[in-house]
Amino acid sequence: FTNPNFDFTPSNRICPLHAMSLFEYSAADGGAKRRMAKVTGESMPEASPPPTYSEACPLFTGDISDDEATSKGNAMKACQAKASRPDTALRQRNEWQLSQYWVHIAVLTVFSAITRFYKIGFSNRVIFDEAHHMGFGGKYVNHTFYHDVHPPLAKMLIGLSEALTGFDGSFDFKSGSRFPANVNYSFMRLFNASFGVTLAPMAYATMINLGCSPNAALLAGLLVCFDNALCTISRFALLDAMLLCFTAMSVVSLSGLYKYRKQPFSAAWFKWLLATGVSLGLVASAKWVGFLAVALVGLYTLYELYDIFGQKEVGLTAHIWHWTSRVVALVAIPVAIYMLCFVIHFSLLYKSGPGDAEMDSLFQAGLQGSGLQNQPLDVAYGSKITLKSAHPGAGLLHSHTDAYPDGSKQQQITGYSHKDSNNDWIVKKIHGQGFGNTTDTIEFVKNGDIVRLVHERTSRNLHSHTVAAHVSKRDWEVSGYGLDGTYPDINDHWRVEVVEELSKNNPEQRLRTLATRFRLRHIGQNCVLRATGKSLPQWAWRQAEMVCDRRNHLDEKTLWNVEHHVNPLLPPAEPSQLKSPFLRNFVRLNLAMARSNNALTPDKDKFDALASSPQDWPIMRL
Amino acid sequence: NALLTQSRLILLDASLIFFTGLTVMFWALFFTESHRPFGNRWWGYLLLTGVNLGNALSCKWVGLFLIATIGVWTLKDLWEKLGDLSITPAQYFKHFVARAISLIVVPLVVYLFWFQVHFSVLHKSGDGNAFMSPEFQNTLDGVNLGHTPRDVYYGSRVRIRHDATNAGYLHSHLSNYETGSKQQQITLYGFRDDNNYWVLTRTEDSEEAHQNSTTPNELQQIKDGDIVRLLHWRTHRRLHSHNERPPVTTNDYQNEVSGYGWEGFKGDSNDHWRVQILEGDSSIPDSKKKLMSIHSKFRLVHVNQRCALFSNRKKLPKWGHEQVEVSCMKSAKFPKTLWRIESNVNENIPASAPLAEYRRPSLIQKVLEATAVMWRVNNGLTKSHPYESRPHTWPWMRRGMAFWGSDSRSIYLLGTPILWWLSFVAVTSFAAVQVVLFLRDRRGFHDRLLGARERYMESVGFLSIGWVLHWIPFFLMGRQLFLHHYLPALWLAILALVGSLDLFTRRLSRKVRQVLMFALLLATVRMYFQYSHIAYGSPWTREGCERSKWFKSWDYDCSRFPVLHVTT
Repeated sequence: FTNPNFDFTPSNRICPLHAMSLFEYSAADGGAKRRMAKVTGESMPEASPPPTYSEACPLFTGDISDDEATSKGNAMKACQAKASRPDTALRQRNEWQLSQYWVHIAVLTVFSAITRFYKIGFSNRVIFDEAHHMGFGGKYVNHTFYHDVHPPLAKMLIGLSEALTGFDGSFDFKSGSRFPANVNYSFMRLFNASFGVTLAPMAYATMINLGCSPNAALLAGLLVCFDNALCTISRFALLDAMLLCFTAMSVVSLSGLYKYRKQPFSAAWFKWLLATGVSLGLVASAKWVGFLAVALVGLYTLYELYDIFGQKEVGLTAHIWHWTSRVVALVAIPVAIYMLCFVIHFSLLYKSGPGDAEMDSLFQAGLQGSGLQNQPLDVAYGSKITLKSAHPGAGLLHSHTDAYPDGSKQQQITGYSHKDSNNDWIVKKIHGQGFGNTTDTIEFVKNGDIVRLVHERTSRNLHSHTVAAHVSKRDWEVSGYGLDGTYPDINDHWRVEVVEELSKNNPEQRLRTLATRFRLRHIGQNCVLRATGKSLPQWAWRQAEMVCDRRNHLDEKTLWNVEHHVNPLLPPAEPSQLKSPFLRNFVRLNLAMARSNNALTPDKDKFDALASSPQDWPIMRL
Repeated sequence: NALLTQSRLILLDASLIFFTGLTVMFWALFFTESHRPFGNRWWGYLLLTGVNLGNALSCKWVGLFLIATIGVWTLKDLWEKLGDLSITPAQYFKHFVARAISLIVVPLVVYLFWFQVHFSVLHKSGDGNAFMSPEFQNTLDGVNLGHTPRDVYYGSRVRIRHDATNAGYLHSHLSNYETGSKQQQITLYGFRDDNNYWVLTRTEDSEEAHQNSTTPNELQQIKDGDIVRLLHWRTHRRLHSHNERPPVTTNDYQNEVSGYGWEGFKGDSNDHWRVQILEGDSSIPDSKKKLMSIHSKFRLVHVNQRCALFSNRKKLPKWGHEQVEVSCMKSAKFPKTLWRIESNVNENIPASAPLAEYRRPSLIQKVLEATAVMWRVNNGLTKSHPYESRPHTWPWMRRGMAFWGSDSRSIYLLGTPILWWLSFVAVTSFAAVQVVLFLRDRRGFHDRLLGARERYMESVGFLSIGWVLHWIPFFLMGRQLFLHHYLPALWLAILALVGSLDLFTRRLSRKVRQVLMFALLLATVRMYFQYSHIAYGSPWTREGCERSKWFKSWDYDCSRFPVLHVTT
């Protein structure tokens, strides 16, 4: 590689005879160079330097006739001869090539559409995962909040296709059931399949961008068109057609970026860079598998930046431009699109639905029909409340008449996810102190107050003592003890410690429904009430374990908020006071998705007829 | 101090690190002979490397990381030799084969050798039996599974062993489930008693057909595909399953298996199980068609529920005497649904009938089995331990481990801080320097640094890669890990530290270098003395202890040492 003129770029390696492809002429117009010169602060040379071999003499294999190009040497001669022809001939050829390009694209699109759309409404039953994804689409029509492992974009598009048919949201897309007459499932599938149609033309465009001949590219497009698996998966309302479409978009954009790598900052280069960024945003918002496309683009970009790093003629300013343009287009834009999908997701799903429990109470309060609206805001002594753990799955602080079988043998305290009057607690002052119970004398609970929590149904106090807990034996047991004020005990006292306040205008640091996240610290043992995330045995109906944490963790397992609040003396809160900020919902939902994803581990002793493993895919051993 | 403390107690790490050190030493010596390939010394060092690799691997599986280190370096070396045109293809082939034999075959032979020693020393039955297969157990003194009539007939009284888990025999006893149907428990039980006996009988219909046939008194062998009932010999319950969830595994595709019925009860169709023989002994082709004790591995498929009798090492609660749960699983994969008949009693079988006994496993089979069991047990060590730690806390020694303590003394595993920290700096700066050189190469500066670059790569590079391969793999392990797992990596890192210092200070004058090295040695020895009290468990003072406790997370207990009263 000592010869500096030796061009060993990848395109020459892939298709050595097609080093420059169709559009290179329109882009190498000098505009890019001028812009580049402006950016780098270098002066534009008056006369262009003599063109190198590859610029001046691309090899038009597309239209070199066989007798002209029997060998590479001949091809060079032929193209040198062509380069000296008048411009008009060149322009005509370019126009001809351009029209050929669009004819090919059109042919592929038509073929692809025929294969994908053929008898698309043939099965009038809900097939495979259509039950999930058409169902989730229906949630957007009904505006009910749901939870799923995938990001929302593809499902919102399915929802859009359902809305376009005028679907009224009355069908629940139960697996295997027959579509009723008023559900135009054919259109829904057609809409989805049209994403699958784009795979073939995009394959063609990618190959052209990578420098292959139109005939080779056409072959690639046709092969994609006639793959049965790609065809089948596109024909049903699943997320995969969209995922594949956005993945192909990412690849075709990246190939465009590659084609113009020698003219950075030209209009065409920016166009492809932007297209890459947008595609990455879309593909990641369709399914998390889309992050594999992000990884591909990321690796290529790193390689390219490393390549530019070695070019000594590129100045510092140009380096900075190379970096910033890529960071903006390939990081900021995809993140923005991903988040925008969630903004739309939250704003479409404004009613309470099956996914409520995955989100925290404050978010649920923002949903219509959640039953958490119109509650008093500030918690006062005498209020009836339920306490929700911030740890997902731990549920509400609960007690029932069953006692612990060993340890103190006092009444059980657990976490329970369902709504039930055994979740109700009354906030009271410590033993020996009373409180006002009229509108004028009412006293609010504030940060730092020491309170007593009395279980309404059984009048037991929330209690802890130096008895080991039942599953997490290193922590203290929490039990229900006493009979309200009848057997006063200092171990019934807990301090309210506010950790996070999400509402505004709270100068007195009052404990607020939904908006205040706090810990409950036991006065006697200096430990905090904690949901361990483990289940108690059958004697406690496998409900969640509650302990008093001796190590005082500050994590979501020790954080609590008031979910339901009843106090007839107080007015309902302003809805604006109970609004969960978007970013918080966004993070929480994404964490919940990751958690549900990880929970989908199959039982390795069970045989699953549909499952297969990655090593079997390339050889289709299913 | 950590290497010291760990070596002074009777633990496995001292010998592991010893063999690690030997391997690295012989490997380095092997490279000093590289100009005289295939000479006696060359062969000697190469073979000694291989032998000690095998020894390290036979101490602890951490030796695998050492194999990876040597392997990576061998590949690098062979790659460079491939580009060396002075080596003929024949010579290259010889290089390749010499390394393959010495570094792959020899360590494996050594590993097998130590297992052979292990098995021949431990020839008596002991508390490790329960982990092993019956074939394996049969090779131990004091276990005699003997032989049993081979062919299994209707009316035979059999003991059925769960094949995949070695957790025991299909068992029932006079206790009921506290969940589900509350019928009699069916479990796996590891010991041989009468409650493991089951009588294989026909279904009611086929019994009637058999009685009306021409030969009602003839013995009939059970075949693949037959539907049988299993009667518990002691309690007269029949093996039964129905649409109830098992007590521990609550998946909806698993059914509870219970003992149901009483003496004289005719039974119902939920007692029907189909025998499906999946594996037989290759030397007895019939064992795949007819049920034979020991040779046939079979499933019992519940006819009504279409689920297979299954077990997965899940323990029942106290009310189930903490025996192993048995359930019936739909769409189960084969291994954990396979059963074998271990003993077969039937008064009507003539004494001359063919017998079956367990095969004697070969050494390699025994080693493979022991290795598989070690692997499973290793991965099962997931209980939390107060002194466990994750790998990312090791290089900067966030926390030590308390080994022992009495009234006024304690032994606490804690390294000499300066060594841990500087050695970590040395190996990470190797990576940093490589990145800088890589980028500088790209910009056209091909630094040779007067040959130091190559030396740095060959010495510190090897040690740093060894360090990485002895540290990073721990991140992938889910089992409980401890600080002492870092010690082999530490040993390599200390060597890398000195190698780096030697090269970095090369341009300084001899005097300055001597001062620097001496200062490092002094600081290290000073700290060694400072922390030696908890290394040796020797007396210490409260003040000295408090002063040495640089971080709260070094949780040795200073309050146990006496306060030193300084009189003025």
